[in-house]
Amino acid sequence: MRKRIVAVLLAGTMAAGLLAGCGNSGGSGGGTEKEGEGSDVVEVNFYVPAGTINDQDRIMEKVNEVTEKEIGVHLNLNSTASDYQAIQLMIDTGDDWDMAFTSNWLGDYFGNAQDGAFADLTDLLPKLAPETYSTIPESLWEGMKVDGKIYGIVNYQLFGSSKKIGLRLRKDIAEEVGFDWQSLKGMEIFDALNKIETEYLAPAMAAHPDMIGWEAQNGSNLFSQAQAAQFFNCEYVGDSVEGSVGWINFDDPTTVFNQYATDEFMEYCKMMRRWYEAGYIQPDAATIIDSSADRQAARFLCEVALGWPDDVDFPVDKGMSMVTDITQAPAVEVSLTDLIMPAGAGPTAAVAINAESENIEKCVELMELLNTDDDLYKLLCYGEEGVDYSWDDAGNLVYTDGGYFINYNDYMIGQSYDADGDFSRTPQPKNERGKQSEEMYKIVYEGDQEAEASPLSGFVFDPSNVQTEIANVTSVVKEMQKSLVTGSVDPETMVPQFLERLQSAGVDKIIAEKQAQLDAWNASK
Amino acid sequence: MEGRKHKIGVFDISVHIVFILLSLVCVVPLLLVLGISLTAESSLVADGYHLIPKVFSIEAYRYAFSASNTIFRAYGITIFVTVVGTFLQLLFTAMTAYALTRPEVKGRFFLSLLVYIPCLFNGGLVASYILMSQTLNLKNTIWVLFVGSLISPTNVLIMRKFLRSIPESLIESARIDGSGEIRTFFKIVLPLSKPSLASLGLFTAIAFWNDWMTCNLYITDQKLYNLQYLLQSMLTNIQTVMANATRTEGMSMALANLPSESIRMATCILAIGPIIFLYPFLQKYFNKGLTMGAVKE
Amino acid sequence: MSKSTAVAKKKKWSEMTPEEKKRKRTRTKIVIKRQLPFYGLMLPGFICLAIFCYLPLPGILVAFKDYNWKDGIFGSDWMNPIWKNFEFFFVSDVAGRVTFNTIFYNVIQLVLGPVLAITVAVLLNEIRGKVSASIYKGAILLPTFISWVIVQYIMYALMNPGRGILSSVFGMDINFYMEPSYWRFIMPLIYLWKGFGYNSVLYVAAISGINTDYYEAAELDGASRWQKIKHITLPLLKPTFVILTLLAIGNIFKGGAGDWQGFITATNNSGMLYPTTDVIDSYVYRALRTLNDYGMSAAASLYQSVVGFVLVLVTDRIIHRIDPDSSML
Repeated sequence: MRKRIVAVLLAGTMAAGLLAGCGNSGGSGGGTEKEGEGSDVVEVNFYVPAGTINDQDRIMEKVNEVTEKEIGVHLNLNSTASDYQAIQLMIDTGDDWDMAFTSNWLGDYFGNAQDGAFADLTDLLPKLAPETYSTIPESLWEGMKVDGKIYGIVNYQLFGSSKKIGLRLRKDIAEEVGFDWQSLKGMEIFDALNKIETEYLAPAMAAHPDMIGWEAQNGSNLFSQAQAAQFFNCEYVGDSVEGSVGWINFDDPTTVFNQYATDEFMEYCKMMRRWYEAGYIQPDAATIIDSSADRQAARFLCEVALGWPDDVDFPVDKGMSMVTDITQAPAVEVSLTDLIMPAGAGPTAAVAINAESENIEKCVELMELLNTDDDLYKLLCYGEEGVDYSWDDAGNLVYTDGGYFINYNDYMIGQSYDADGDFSRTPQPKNERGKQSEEMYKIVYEGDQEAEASPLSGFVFDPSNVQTEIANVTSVVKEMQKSLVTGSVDPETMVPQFLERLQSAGVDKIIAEKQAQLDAWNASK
Repeated sequence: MEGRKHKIGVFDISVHIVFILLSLVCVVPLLLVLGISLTAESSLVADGYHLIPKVFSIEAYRYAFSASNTIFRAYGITIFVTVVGTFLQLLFTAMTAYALTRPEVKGRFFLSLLVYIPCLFNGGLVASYILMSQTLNLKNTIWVLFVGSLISPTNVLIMRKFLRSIPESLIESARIDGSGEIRTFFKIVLPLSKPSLASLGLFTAIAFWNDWMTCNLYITDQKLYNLQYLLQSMLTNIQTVMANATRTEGMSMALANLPSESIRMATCILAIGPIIFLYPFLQKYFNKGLTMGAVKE
Repeated sequence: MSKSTAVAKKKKWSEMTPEEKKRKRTRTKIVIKRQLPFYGLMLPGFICLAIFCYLPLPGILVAFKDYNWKDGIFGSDWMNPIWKNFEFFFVSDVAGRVTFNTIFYNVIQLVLGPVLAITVAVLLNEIRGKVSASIYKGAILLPTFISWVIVQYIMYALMNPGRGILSSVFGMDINFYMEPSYWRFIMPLIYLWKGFGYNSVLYVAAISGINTDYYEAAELDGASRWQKIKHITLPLLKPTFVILTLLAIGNIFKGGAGDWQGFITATNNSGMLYPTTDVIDSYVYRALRTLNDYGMSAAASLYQSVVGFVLVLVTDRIIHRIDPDSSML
């Protein structure tokens, strides 16, 4: 009898579980409306992976005064940990969310859009967010499209979207060894690296043996840093996360190939091996946890620079990356490539709206408000002037310790680009440096308007047929690639071994799938 | 037994030597962590890691406490969740485990199997997320931080073994004295299980104390952040600030002092400091103070 | 009360004399009265189990499904073929390597873990100074508190080539992070270091539960210390040992018996060490982290659990044959 009680109890709870499991798909995503309060204010839950934020209540109260008055929206800005897991789970379980940050590098914009989790905004945007829609270059909207529809609002940034990449060297040391860094401009990557090797690294390392010639990993790994494919006049097809294979060359944008099976990869590995053996690369470069300590100590002589314009076209005082004090490690940047608008530029930072949200239109209106009301945006990203940030005597921007601050994640909230051109959306240093930056942002914006769009803009890869192969190829790449590109192992024996293991993991199937989808897309254009 | 005099022999001395060495192996790394957390960031880069800081600095701790009300609140949340969660889990665990040792209970194999299955099988993240967030609607409540761990299947099974060592005669005699079964459990079984409760409780407490995943998934209200989540987040925030160093030309001087490595160690010290103080408090239960003879037989 | 009596009761109730009925009632009442409190004691535990462990359990189905949020766990399409989510693991060229490594380290742990923990617990019990015993117990527990990320930094402080303590103080010029062979020793050492305090304290608790009468009686008989350990302490630790071992066997296909983060943090996740440090979980993590594929991760963990479950059931039943008191279930 007791047994039966237990059994009934268990069965009951299991059944409740089944119901709960089934029921959740329908009744969710409704948003929590505060209708009882009499006004037509709707509540909107906006999720961003911005980490912990201090003193949020104080700022949100002020923000909501504006949003409730202007468009009748009560905004709940919820910040989760930066790994996006919590937000992805909400999306994947159809939870109660209205808006969320999304991108192609954090939060799988294309995957979620293909699954129908995001609302189709193609028609709503020009109607409800006309200013946002018109400010942002057409090519970025093109890049957001999945089957011809836009599923996210681009957060267009001050520092632009078009890309022109190059190298960053130590200015003082280049001068010391008499290296003409300006001559690198526009060079082919291997020529540039060869020149750097003989004319810059060799004498510089001899004079400063405790420095590190080339970072070789992280951002300076030409085969894992997504943007660096541009050095080879190439671009990733589809996803560009670590471990993905399949590039196209801009000269032949219809053929997908395995970037590791190219002569360029072999040549690069051989060069890195040479540098490793010459001591330009740290002996433990392949296995180091992170190199921020060395960066902070300004030990690197050369690294990849992703920003533009460079110091040939527009000289600005700058330091090596993460460096603590510019005078300690002054740097110069020189671009090697042409300007291009990468296919992934649109979804680099965007906001998506839940397809099941009851307030889709209000969400679009909110984004338009955030993108046009400069003070509101600034308040939400940086807090109150004089309380959370201020300027010191030299005009430098100082953030108050423990004050409200969104941890530099302003790109998750809305556009930092200022259409009026008065830079009132972001606090800028009030000195020469601030003026220089403003000047630079103008050049970048013009560049964005002119930049040639990648031939892959608007192409979306659907990986569902080759998930198994992707999992295995990713694992092989993560295992072997780092030691090759840091020169830690001999490329003559290891590259063939690497390629063989990629083969058996099914790399050809991925390439073929990407090719087939690209062909179909090209045919449909 | 403790009262009796014994000669201190070679055996005792060698046991002490072994334990002193073992203790050093365990304590020194933590002292290293403490040392690094108190070293100036610039010295870490220049001189490497040392037990005794070459350049002393409390910058890492100053940084951690710069939003002090948040961190003190997070301590409060963590302490509350740990105390309540551990207490309830121990209670439920001991109750379930005890019942499963009793011959009066039928189908013990089946019931134990029911307890064991969740040790290995779980419904995965999606299912438990739906349960917590939609079925039970526990997101952004303090309950979510411990209700999911109110019973530990592993601990039930371990506890059950510990409870076997309680002599049946004690329970029989209590029954003869007219004590109800539940009263017997609370008055005799629980007091006799103090050492096992203390050892399981200590580790339950550590698990609650160290849990940041639950907070990561279900909490966005900063008033409910627990300590580990806040500390983790502090580390990521520092990394974001560092990665954005190029964007913040004006800030470069402030970045010079950003304690990126020492803060990792400081968070470790901040996280385990309080729970280490808990240990001496539990210590008395581990010692062989309680004997069977202490309970009237 | 067994089912058969309940059935028998139903059948014969009308035929019974009033006395019989009364007797039956009282007997049932007594039985209920004796059993009910225990079911009551179990109730909160089982309610929690039902809600937090069994309610989400259908989520296991995801392993066979092409999960999408709209259709949910039950509504999503089945994979075609149904085992498709399991494929990535079995076709991988490292399946053999990671399976071997996982079992290799778990078996070492299974053997050395209890040996070390029991030795420490027994020796702790032999220490007569209460204060020193407390200090030792506190000290050996410290590694349990240290998170894997901190372990990573401690290891790095020890072993990094150049600045590390082993190379700068002891002059060992080895880049450990590139030499897989050393890690066959290093990994078990790290896990032992991190876990022995925890397990020792469990055994200390078990020793505390031993009736001191046994020792006093043995002392009267003139038993030596070693004899007392061998004939009283060790045999009475057996149930604890068996349960902990069984629980570990269940996790034998899980890296580090479930606590696998050590294999990616302590090694700096160095690709060159994978031949000796890659376990099933670290492989799955590496392969699937960027894919966001719930089906494949559910498949991997289901596979690990099923193997463990079968092993445990078999072992437990064998133990039950030999010594019913020691079995887990």
